Amino acid sequence: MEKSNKKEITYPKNPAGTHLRSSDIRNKVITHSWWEPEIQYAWSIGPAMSKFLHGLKEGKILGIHCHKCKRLITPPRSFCEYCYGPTDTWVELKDTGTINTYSISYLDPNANRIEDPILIGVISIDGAYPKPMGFMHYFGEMSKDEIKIGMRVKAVWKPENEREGAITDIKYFKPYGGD
Amino acid sequence: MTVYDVKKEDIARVSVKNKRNAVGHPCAQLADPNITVEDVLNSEIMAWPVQRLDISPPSDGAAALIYCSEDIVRQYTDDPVWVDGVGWNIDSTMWTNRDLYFPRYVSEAAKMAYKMAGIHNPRKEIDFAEPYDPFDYKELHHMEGLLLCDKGQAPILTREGVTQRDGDLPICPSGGLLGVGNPIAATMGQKACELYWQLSGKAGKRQIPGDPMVGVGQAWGDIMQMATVICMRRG
Ligand SMILES: [Zn+2]
Repeated sequence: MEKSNKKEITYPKNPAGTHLRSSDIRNKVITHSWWEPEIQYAWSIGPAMSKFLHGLKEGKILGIHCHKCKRLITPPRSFCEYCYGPTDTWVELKDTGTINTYSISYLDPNANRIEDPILIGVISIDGAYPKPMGFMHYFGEMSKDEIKIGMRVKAVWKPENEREGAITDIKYFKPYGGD
Repeated sequence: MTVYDVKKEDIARVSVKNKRNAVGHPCAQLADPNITVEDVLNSEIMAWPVQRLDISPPSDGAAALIYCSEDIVRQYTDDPVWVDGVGWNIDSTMWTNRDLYFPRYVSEAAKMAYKMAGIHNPRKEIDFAEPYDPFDYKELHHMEGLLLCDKGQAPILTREGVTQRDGDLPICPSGGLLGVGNPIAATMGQKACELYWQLSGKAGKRQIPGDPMVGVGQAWGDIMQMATVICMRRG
């Protein structure tokens, strides 16, 4: 290569770096420290989501309007994230909807392998708009071979005395033959 | 898959291409010169329709670039690669209220970067791209978000070989996250490094033929929500 009077820039010759193996940690080949965090936190969900969860406890799915953007939003929030204006006028929506997307999961919430897959996906809730407008939930009373996008579904609620104001107050959504 | 009748086979072709492209990348974790579409389609089902070989591995890694001002860059090199445009965008956190097919956060970030770079027709002016590919289907999503093809066309271009390293529009010539690895939070650096290597002709075995002039890189974050885009040009 021609000799130039440019300033030299050096770079690592081995960009892949050095492999580190778990045995290196066990055998204390590398310096390391071990720390088990004990972290607790509380999260305030705000007035809109609180009202939504109270609604679930009463067996209702609630939505709220952004009149400016002509949206009827669920899950509800205090402001519309598109126009940043306040939302108002609460509406009780139906507990029926349409499957917008789904997955057949062979992993449980802790990423353990499972034999019997979990059916999970997003439901576009009837009455809310613009479509798709809804939330994520489980599906039940259907097999992995029956589930499909566009399928009509209806919420299956926990008995009233078991509801606690959580999204799991709905057990799952089942196939729905009605209109 | 439902909206544009995209086939699993065509999605799997992305993984095959990237894992093969990664052969020759010094940092590659999952390069495989012999992988086939059948290998991907027969791999363990994780969360249908996503299978093990559709997914990049979480990796440890770092990437670094030296940025230099125009005033002094000639003290260091005769052939710098220029950053022509950058863009970023965040869509609503409420992803269950959004169109899940088209990544609007990518298209808005791309428009911002293209405007800064003076790119009016990305399909004609961009020679190759490094879209974010943590899953094979996301490369297809992001190609369309980068406005490099019409909606629903990315799987067809992939099937026809257009996105191969020697095709008309090479995509992830580095091997991407699927082939090299997914060093979460360092991935945009990984993409930008590949743009530099390709545009300076230093990509070695991974070099795109024909002296590419303009490349675009992109990364993705949060829940299908945030994108950053960078346009780079040979000096
Ligand atoms: Zn609004």
